[in-house]
Amino acid sequence: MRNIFLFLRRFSTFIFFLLLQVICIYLLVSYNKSQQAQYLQYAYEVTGRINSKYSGVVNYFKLKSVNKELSDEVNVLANNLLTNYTYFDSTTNQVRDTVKVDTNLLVRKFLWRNANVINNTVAFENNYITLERGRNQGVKPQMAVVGPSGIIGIITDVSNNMSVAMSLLHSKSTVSVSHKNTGNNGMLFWNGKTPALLQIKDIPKSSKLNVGDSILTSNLTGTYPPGLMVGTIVAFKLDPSASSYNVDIKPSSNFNNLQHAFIVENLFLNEQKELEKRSTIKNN
Amino acid sequence: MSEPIKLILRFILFVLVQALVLNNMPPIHRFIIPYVYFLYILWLPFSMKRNTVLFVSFFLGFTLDIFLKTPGLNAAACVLVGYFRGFLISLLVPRETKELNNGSPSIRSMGITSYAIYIIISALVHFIWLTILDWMNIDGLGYFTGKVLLSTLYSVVLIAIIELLFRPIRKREGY
Repeated sequence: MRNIFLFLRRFSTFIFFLLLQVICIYLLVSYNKSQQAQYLQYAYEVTGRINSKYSGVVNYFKLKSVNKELSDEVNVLANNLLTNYTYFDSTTNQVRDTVKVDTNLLVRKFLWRNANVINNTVAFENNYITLERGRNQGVKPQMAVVGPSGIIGIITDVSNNMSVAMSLLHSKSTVSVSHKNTGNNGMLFWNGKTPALLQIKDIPKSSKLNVGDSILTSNLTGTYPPGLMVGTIVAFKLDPSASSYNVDIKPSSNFNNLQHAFIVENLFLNEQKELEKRSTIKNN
Repeated sequence: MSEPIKLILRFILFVLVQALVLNNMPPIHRFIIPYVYFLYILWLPFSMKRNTVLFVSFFLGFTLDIFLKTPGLNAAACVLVGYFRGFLISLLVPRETKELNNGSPSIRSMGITSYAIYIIISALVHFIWLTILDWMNIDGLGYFTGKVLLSTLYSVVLIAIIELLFRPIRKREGY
C-alpha cells in the first residue's frame, strides 16, 4: 500500500499530464463526432460577442469590395422589377399581374433572413463561420447559408443570438449540385488542399462538360433552394474506376471577405424528412 | 505591477492576439498558421510547480480552443509543451541560476543558446502533436514534416521578433 502511494507521489506530474491529455482527446473526438456541441454554446456566446466587437473594426477595411458586391446585387434585382418590362403593342396598358403574388396559389417554401458574418476562417482543415443571428431570431441547425454571390455553408450550432455554420471548406461538408447545361447531378465536397478549389464527384460520364460551365445547387438537397450559383468548372478528369467525372470548381463566393449572408430556411424540410423516414420504416 | 496580475493580463493578451490577429492573418500557405500563444507557458516563472504549469497550459489551450471551435486540440498540444518544459529547464539551466534568479526563462537568465534550444524544441513538440491530432492520421510523411518544420520556423521567427521588441536583453533603468 505504501509503495502505491510513493509511486503516485513520485509520478504525480506524469499522471496529471496523462489525465489532461485524455480529457483533451476525449473532447476533441466527441466534438468531431457529433458536430454539435451543445455544452459549449454558452462559451461560444461569450467569444461570439468579442468577435462581433472585433469584426466591427475589421469591417471598415473591407467596405469597398462589399459595397461593390451589394450594388451588383441591387443591380440584378432592379433589372428583375416588373416595371422594366413592357409590351410591344402600344394599345395595351401595362397591368400588374396580381396572380403572381396571390397568396392563395403560391405557398412560401424558402424563407430568407439576412445576417452579419462576425467570424470566419479559411485556413484550417475544418472551417466555420459565425453569424450574428441565433435561436431568438428563428435560426435552427440544418438551415442553409447563402452569400451575395453563391452558397456558403450549413448551420450546425445555434446559441441565443449567434449561430455557427459549417463552411463549404469543411472536410465533412457535402452538397448535391447539378451541372447547369445538362442538369446532371453530382456531389460537392472539399479535399482540403486549397480554399480556391472545391471538388465534385459522381457526375456521369455521359454529360458534356466544358471549362467555365456553371454549377448550381440541385433540387435534391432539401436545405438549399435549387438553382443557386455554386461555382464554375476549372478542370475535370474522367475517373476510370467509377466511370464518372471528377471536377474541380472555383467557388463563386469569395470566402476571404464574407460580411453579409442570408440564412435560408426550408419551411417544408421537417415534413419531407418525416415522410421519408416513415416510408423507409414501412419498406424495411 | 504585481506578478500574478501581470501573468493574468499576459494570458488575456496572448489569447486575444492569437485568436483575433494571428489566426485571421492571410496565411502564407494554407497549412502554415503562425502560433505564438504557447510562449506564455514558456515564460512562466521558474518557481511555479509542475502540476500548476500543466493546469495553466491546459487552461490556456482550452481558452483558445473555444475561440477556434476545436475543443481539446490546442489544449492537448499546450499540455504536452507544459510537460516538456520541466525537463527542458532541468536539462538546460544550471541549478544555481534557477535558485538565485527568482525570474522566468529568458535570454538573460538562460543564455542565448540554451534559450534558443528551449524555444525551438518546445515549438517542435507543439506542432508535432497539434498536427497529429488535427489530421488524426499521418498520410504523406513529407507533407507532415513539411508542415511541422515550416510552422515551427515561422513561429520561432515570430517569437524572436517578440523577444527583441518586448524583452530587451539588457535591463533598463526603472523597468
